[in-house]
Amino acid sequence: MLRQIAPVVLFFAPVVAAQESSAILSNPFNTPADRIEGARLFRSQCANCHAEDGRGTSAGPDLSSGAFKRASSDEGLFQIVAKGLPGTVMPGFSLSGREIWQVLAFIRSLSISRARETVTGDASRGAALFRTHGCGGCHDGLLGPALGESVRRKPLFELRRSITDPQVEVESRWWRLRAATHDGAALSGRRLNEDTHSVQYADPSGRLRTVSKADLTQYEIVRKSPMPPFDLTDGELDDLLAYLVSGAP
Amino acid sequence: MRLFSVLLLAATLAAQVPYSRLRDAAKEPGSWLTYNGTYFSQHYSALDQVNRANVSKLGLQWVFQARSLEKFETTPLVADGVMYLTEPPNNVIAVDPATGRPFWMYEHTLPEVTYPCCGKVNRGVAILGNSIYHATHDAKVVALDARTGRKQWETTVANYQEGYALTHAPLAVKDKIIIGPAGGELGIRGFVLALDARTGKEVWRFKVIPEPGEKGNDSWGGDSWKHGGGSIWLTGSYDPELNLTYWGTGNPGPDWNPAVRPGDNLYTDCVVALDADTGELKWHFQFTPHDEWDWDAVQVPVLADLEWAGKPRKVMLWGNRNGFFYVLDRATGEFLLGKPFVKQTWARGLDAQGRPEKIPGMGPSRQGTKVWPGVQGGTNWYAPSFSPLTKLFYLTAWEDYHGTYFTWDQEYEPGKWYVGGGVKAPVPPTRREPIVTRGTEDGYATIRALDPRTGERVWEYPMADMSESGLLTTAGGVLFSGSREGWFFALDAASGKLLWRIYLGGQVIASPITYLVNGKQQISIAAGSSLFTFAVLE
Ligand code: HEC
Ligand code: HEC
Repeated sequence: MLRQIAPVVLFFAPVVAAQESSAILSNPFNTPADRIEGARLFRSQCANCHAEDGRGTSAGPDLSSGAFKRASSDEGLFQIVAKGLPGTVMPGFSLSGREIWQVLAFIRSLSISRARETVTGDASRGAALFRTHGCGGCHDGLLGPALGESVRRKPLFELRRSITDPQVEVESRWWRLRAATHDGAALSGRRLNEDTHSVQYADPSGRLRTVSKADLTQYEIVRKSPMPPFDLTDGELDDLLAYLVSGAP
Repeated sequence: MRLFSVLLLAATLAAQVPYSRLRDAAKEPGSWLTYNGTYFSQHYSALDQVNRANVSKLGLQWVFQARSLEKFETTPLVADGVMYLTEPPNNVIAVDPATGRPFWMYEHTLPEVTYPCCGKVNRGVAILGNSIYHATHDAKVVALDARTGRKQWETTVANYQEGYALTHAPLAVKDKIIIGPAGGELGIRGFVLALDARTGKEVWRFKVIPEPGEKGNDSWGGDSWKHGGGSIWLTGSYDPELNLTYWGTGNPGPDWNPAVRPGDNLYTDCVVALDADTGELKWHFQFTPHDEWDWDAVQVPVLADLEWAGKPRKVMLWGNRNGFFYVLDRATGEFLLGKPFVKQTWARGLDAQGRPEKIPGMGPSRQGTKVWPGVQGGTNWYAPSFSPLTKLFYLTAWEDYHGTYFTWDQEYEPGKWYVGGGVKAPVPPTRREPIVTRGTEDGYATIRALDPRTGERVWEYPMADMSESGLLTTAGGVLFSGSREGWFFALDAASGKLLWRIYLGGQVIASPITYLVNGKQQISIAAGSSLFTFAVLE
């Protein structure tokens, strides 16, 4: 068993040194064979929480987008896998240093295969379409998603589908509420949070409010997207996506 | 001066908490002497100063802030004016229950990587004599001087590098300290172990997974017993009259690849009744033979004396992770009653012996099988309660909650995950995020009161999100619990009506306790990373 642990310790030595010289240590085990071994390890050690395709389950987040919340460098990811994330169920693993690098090579390859989806449209034509269709009016991060973030989180085919058919999958954080109080007032807006006794929401003017459920006579969650379906040609969609990828707001 | 030193001497000579006080803990409701309150584990207190009439006047007395952001699962003990609690990962702290000010702290040094599965948590300690007993992630039991926190002895009970970790509070019975390991997701073989409380030497060991030649080994096809799992996640119970100690055992491994372990897989997913002096198995009852979903019997065995079919009977009440509520005769293990308490789709029902009649095709599959309940189960480790006052059994249930179970092949490697599959569910098993926007159609938590004689529901208190909070009932007619949302609240134990609530701002993932300080009743609960203490404000 000590044999198992020792390589991790050895690998920490250069990691620490790298931090001190503020250089970023990159993955030394990144051949196709390493990625195959990494995929095997991922399936046995990680997939029960992160899913076989790395897209995440209720027990662990999506690791396939290439964007991480807790680290950005390979070195940071290495630390996460070796030590776990304190305060979360993400455990530390007794994998050897080599094995951790191989798993990371596999995880990185997931987002590289996503990034291969090429954009063929014209970003400046896309910017014009974005303006004329009033997309920016909703996509401010409060009423609708900040699309720069969407581009980092989701593959292009999903974003494309969202534009042509916004109702396909509306994430619950974009659900809205419709409610009425005892004194007859009608409430509406984007639902931000909810618990047994209250609802937090942004009203149509963008003001943040809380209402107690005890004060409501009617309460309905609107799960449909407020975004209208846009009838765009394939070429126009390509242009819009090119604009989003080029750095939408 | 002379009188003072005589008193001091007397205090040092008398064992602080002899076994007799643990045995009679129900008669001493001013203290909270074991993890589950008493050996019967009813999470019921005879204190009634705080009651239905004045519970709405509860107010904050003090807060203890842990230095860790890990899930705070501690359930403290209170004895002779000192509260003993644990802070993640393995620190023990003695505080003044009147003020929250610490007297001493023991910090256990852990290796960099340990494997307590699902968070570096600890649930509490045991007290016996002048010692506090604490179990650690590197599979050690340590005895501490109750007055100073100084280590008296330390015993290693397993090799933590093979996935063994201790997370629950030990149970002190007579002169023994009883404990068992987590690790069912890493191919361990579970056991219940008794150590000599004075020396830390092993006295007996019950193997959850029998070895070749031992009874029950033939319930494992081939070599599958070798990594059979069977964790002990939670403190057991004890009946002094029968001299039996009861423990719930964990799932078989690998969790979701049942094909590699044909058979019933004894003694996983069981309650085992062990002779407290010898560890000999007197009886067992298996809730989920050949478990395919990871439904550990990870519950507190609740013991009660009930009128059953016109005669007094010593029973055990059990709301299981598999979604069924059970009543067993705790002297013999006889199955008396079983009934689903949440939506379940894996069994047609239970037969006359309490064995589930499984519906074929509900096990994990390559393409995924959708089953109710999901992997966290109809309930999980959070303490239920039985109130001798209302004669009702209470538990935190996850209703209408499903999972999609996947299977795949996996080789065992020491110290690594050995689960053979995964589960997708719309609801996270543990949530710390304060933002919750999902709807309740994917499941919600509810506190349910069941009549143990019929298994019928008497009332329920549904919540918007899930809950992993244990329960406490009192002679004041009140039920205390919390939620993942961060509420701590009091219900009328007879009707389920909400009497009082306070927002503590962090998930409750522990059980409340109650005790007296200077003759006044207090209630303590861990939420977020802090322990909060309440009393009626004058
Ligand atoms: C028991 C469930 C579980 C297992 C098994 C697990 N993880 Fe995780 N992992 C999590 C959770 C939960 C988080 C998110 C923690 C947080 O940030 O709140 C996480 C986070 C991560 C992150 C950081 C993600 C980010 O956005 O910053 C990485 C990287 C990661 N896991 C890699 C792995 C690898 C590699 C394995 C297998 C060797 C693994 N995990 C196994 C539950 C798990
Ligand atoms: C009336 C407000 C509104 C307008 C106008 C609008 N959207 Fe949306 N859009 C939303 C909302 C709300 C969502 C999130 C819910 C959903 O998935 O539909 C969304 C989702 C999206 C998504 C998916 C983002 C993600 O993270 O899943 C894309 C891409 C998108 N919109 C692009 C556009 C484009 C391009 C336009 C203009 C052609 C546009 N939207 C106009 C409100 C709007």
